[in-house]
Amino acid sequence: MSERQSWFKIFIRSGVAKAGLALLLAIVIISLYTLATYPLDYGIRIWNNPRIWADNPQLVPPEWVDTFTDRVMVKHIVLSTKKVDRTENVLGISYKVYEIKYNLVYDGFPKYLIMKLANITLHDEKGAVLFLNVTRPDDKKITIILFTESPPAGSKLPISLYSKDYKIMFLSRDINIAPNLCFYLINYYNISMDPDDVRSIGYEKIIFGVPRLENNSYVWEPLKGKYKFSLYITGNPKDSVGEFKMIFGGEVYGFMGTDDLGRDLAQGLLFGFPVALAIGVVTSVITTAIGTALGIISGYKGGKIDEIVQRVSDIVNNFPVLPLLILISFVVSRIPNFPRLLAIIGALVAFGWAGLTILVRSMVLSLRSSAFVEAAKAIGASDRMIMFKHIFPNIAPFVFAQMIFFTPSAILAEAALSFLGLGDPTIPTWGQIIQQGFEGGAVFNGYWWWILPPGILIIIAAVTFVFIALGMEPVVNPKLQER
Amino acid sequence: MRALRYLLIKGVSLIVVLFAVLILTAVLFGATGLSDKVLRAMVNEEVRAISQSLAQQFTDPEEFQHAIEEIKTQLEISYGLDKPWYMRLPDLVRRIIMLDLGNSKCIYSFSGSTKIADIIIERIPITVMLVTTATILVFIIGLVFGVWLSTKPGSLRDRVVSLYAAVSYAFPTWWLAMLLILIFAFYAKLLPYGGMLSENPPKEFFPRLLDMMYHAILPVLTLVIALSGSQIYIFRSILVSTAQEDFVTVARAKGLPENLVMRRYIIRPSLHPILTNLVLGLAGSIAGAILTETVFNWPGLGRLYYEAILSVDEPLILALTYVTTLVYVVARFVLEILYILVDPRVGYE
Repeated sequence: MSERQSWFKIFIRSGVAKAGLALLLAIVIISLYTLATYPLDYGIRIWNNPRIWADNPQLVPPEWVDTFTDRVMVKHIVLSTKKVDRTENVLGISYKVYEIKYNLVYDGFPKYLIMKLANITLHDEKGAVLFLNVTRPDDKKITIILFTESPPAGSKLPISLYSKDYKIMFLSRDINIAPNLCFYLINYYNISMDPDDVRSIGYEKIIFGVPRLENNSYVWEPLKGKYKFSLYITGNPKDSVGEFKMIFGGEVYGFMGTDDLGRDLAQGLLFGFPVALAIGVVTSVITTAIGTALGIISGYKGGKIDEIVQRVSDIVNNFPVLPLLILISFVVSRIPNFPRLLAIIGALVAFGWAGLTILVRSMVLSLRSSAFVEAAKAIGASDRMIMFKHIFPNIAPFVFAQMIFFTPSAILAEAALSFLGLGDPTIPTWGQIIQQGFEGGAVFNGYWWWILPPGILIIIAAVTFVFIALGMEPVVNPKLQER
Repeated sequence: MRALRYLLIKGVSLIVVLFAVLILTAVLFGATGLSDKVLRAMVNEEVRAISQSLAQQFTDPEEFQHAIEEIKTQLEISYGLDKPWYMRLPDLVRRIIMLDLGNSKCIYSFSGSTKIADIIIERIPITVMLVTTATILVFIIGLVFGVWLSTKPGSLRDRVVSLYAAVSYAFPTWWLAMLLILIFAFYAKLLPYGGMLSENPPKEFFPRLLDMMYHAILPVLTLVIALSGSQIYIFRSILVSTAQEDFVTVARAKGLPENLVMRRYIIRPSLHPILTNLVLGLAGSIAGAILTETVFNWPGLGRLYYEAILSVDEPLILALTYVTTLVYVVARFVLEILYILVDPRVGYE
């Protein structure tokens, strides 16, 4: 074991080291991608902003769950158009028509329907009439809803309504729709129902389904195919709609599903990568630097300094870390606008250095009396020179392995604090997602997609560093035995 | 005599740890202004209570106001609010050492008391029960598997277990707890989601004990899975290195039966380092127990922590930090005594 440059070869020989390095590479790449594509204030501006997630289905599993069933689950679809599809003449009145085509390929009905409109421009005081029509794959037509828009009294014309916020029509709960669907049912199927029945069945089943009589009641089966949603507007010929948007609520969402606010969990999990990496690496680097420096000074200088450092590190090393971490993050959480994550990292460093100091000191003690240190002293090298140039390189592999080994414990500690509700709410982390899931009853309701993936990611991140540390062992140990 | 001196030194250093934690927490609360805030709130609460009872005795509102002001100033002096926080420190430290932990803000004991000492004392046995059971199981599992592996170091089973040990180090215990609830309570419906007793627990002793054990299965299993990986690995390594000692070779050469060699020549000398590691494991399990109890709603100290955090009960959290440290320090001291009993050499180093 004399060639120093071969340490990487020794390291990479083991299977765990290869696995660890591959995982680390993946984590770093994902982190870099996230940092490049997500804003740094993502947590405050997007993740914690409920309005951004308002249209999403809540508490639905990921899209790929239906690979385990023989049913094709309804995906969440958002469609929008900004341009006029055609103008149409109905009974002598000219309409502008905006059209959205929705393809139902699933074994189910959309969970809900939302229509959003922006920039409705009006040129006349009397306003405009709008209505939403759907043409089904079987060519049956339903007029879903009809409504008017008029400019506020005394406003300057032309005026553009809903230029800041969408006009949101939650169609699934709009009581005005029920009579229209009753009319449709009697017209095409000769089924007579009152609006209350229609509402209890659910509009989506009637719009997207076909009734079948079974034991004196109707069973609705989804009708697959292309649906054309047409928005008609008439009034002044120049009146127009800036954007026509339809949201078809899914039973499944995205790659990782959603939480109770409809947040896309994939985004939160992705943002957790750079955060976890930063917490782990920053904490372990600072902790190791302090621990090593104090250990070298203590062991090399001896005397009073050694005595003090050893006493203090012995005490700190015996601290019950988690209760103190809880206390510190709790106190910090009571101070408004305090950068909590930094405080947590600071506390982890403050309680983490002592163990390493004790180990490094004992190694330095045996190095201090070795021949090469004596020789360096004899030729008049300064203390600092000897500590940096002669002692440190000898313990470097060990220190490096310790640094890697400390990384997962920092990641795990932050996750644990987050789980207790003491995390930094401005930055989404995996631990916080699990905590929100736990609080949101994920365990008792079986929302596994809310709590399992973040936990698996914490384990993967931690295992990565454990594997690398294990791979370091054959590099570190022979050197130790040599002394 | 030497053993006694050794214990004395260990004891003093652990007491220093206790003091250091105490002062650290007191400074933390004082320097951030949190202790002032808490005391002010207590004073205001008392003033409100007094003013309600005094309201009838005064007819002149001005006089009443004056009396209330006076009471408030007196209370502030008695709480030490007229002095800066660092002047209150010695008194606070003295009170906590005497276990005069004050009253909680909003959490009650099972019997309805707000005295923190009452709240904590009834929770300690509940936690100790859980952690002790898990630790004993981990010790047995560690020893059995450690011995099993140490007879064939480097074999496939040895490598599999060491990989398991590495991975289990990376497991967040509390997440494992949730996973187990999902599997055994939600999907399999075999075990309860949490709590220590059923909603209407049986009154008689033995059925009640059984009910409690039924509820303890998952939390204990969680702690055992989380801790056993590393303990098995450590036990195994210690046993392997002892097995290479000369006196083991001599014992074998004498023709002693293998299980006697294992028992008397390998396990016995290994017990000391094994216990050392169990102590460290115990320290870890106190931390793990805080989170495990939280997930399982196991009403011990750990769950109390969580409840105190949720309801922002500052005095209770301060007291809990101190008491946990105390429990930790006492547990370590007890194990130091155990060392000496197991290995008389300790005192003579």
